[in-house]
Amino acid sequence: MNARLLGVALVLAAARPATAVAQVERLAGRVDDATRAAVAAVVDSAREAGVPAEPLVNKALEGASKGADGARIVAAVHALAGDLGRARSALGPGASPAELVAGGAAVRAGVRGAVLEELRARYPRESLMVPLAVMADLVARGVPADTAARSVLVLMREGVRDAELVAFRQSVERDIALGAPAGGAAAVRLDGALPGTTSTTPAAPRKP
Amino acid sequence: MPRRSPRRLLALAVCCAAGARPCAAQVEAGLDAAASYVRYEGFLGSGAASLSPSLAWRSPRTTLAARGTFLVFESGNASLQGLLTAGTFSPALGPLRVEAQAEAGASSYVGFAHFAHALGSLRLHALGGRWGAWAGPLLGSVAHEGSGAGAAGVAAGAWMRWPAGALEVIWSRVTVGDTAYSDVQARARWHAGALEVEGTLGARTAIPGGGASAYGDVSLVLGFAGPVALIATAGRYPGDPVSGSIPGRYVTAGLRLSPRHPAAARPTLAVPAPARTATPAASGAATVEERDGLAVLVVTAGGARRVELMGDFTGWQAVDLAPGADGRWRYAPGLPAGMYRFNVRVDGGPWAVPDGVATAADEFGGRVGVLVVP
Repeated sequence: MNARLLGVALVLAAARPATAVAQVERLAGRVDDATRAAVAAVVDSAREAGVPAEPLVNKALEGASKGADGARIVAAVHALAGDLGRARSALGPGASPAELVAGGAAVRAGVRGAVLEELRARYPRESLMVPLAVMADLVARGVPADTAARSVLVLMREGVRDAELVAFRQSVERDIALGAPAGGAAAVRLDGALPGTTSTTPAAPRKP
Repeated sequence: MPRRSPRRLLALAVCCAAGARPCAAQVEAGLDAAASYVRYEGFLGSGAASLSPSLAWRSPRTTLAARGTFLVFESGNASLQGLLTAGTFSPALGPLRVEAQAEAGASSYVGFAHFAHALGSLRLHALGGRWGAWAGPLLGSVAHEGSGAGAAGVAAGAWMRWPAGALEVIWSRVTVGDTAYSDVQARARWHAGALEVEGTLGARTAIPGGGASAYGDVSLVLGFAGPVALIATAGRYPGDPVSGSIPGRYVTAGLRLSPRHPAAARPTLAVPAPARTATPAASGAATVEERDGLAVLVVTAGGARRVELMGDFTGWQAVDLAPGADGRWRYAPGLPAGMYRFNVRVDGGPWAVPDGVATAADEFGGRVGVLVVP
């Protein structure tokens, strides 16, 4: 790194909040200097968009522990910063770090930002961490993103609690493990969770 | 029928073990062409057309068979399935005979990953004149996109036959990865002249988390014009985690070209079971306990000497879990509400995801467990 770049890095470091500095310091001894500087730059850029540093640094640490090279670590951190930024935009400035992490996972899984915006608009004061995490998990299990999103929205509209959402997700996962198609499993479990509300089945089944 | 099916194995037993119709070595080939209406659970009903070629070589004690099914739905999507089976009987030991069976199958359906399985079984048959009973274990594996799960089970059955038909009752218990199920089936077959009627009634019970289900079907085979037969089948069948088929209802009618007219086959749609990133023995199973308002992560790994964990909450540094009674290992610091990523390692093995938690790609070429604490 030449003197000019080092100067820029020092200026950026000086402008970085103490919490962000502390987070980036966790990388000391875990990644090489170049990777650390690149991650710090991503963290700084993300911070301007209201994205917390901790999940980004955790991602870098995960990569380091798994033996990934610097380029792959930086790419993963950069991608996560993008996901968290989109979640931040959709969930608003009041979103908690936990909500952003779950929202970022949902966005990465394929849930549209409009769904996150709808959730926040409907539930401006409740934590959306669990609903968003459930959406992300369902999509990871093969449930179509729109089906997963609408399932969670319908359940929340019916007043289910976080623990019930987690139980719903587990039921769908068990059905899938038994060979049920993912979208069908979510629809069937949603019907089961909402007796008498079959008309709210979130996604119409399709032909095979 | 490209599904693993205890009744198929029993049909072989009825034919050869009893020696009622001594089998000279012969080769049989057949082709089914059929039109179906299928309604898989979670899907809309759909028309489908299928072609199912089959080939078998039979000697007095040994059978080798292959069967495939190519199924095209209204949507243009298609499924392709194949199954190879081999079975042989020992010489008679008084009223007893031992049967060894092996089968390998694969299936694929557009939009889903490929699915394959291999199973072997041993059976001890006790044979009377018009009756028989058998029992034995089966063992194998199921593969899906590079990940596998062990399959194990035990099955037992009894049958009676008379000149115009046979009645068979089968019980089986099969475990595939962390999925286990039991089936009880009754099957009757009756024939008169060129008409053969076969019916099955079954119930699936003891499915962890999956409830119970009943199923059954009726099939007709009406021979005419030499090697040509009319086939018709209708019914409902359960999902099969071994072969990857999903539950569904169906009606099928078509023609069979074969010098003989074995029981009608039904169309199946192969849908893979979810990938398993690790077996319980390799990475344990994770649960969460609540203590003082915090979540305590518990990994059950019976027989393990050391269990380590790394994740967001350890700075992705490996930490040893504290051993407890009954093979339960705890991450003592409780976790507040949040979404956490982590991996577990048992006895210095590879970092993996324990059963019981959601998994996701980790962007570094592996998998990571995702724990949500409400």
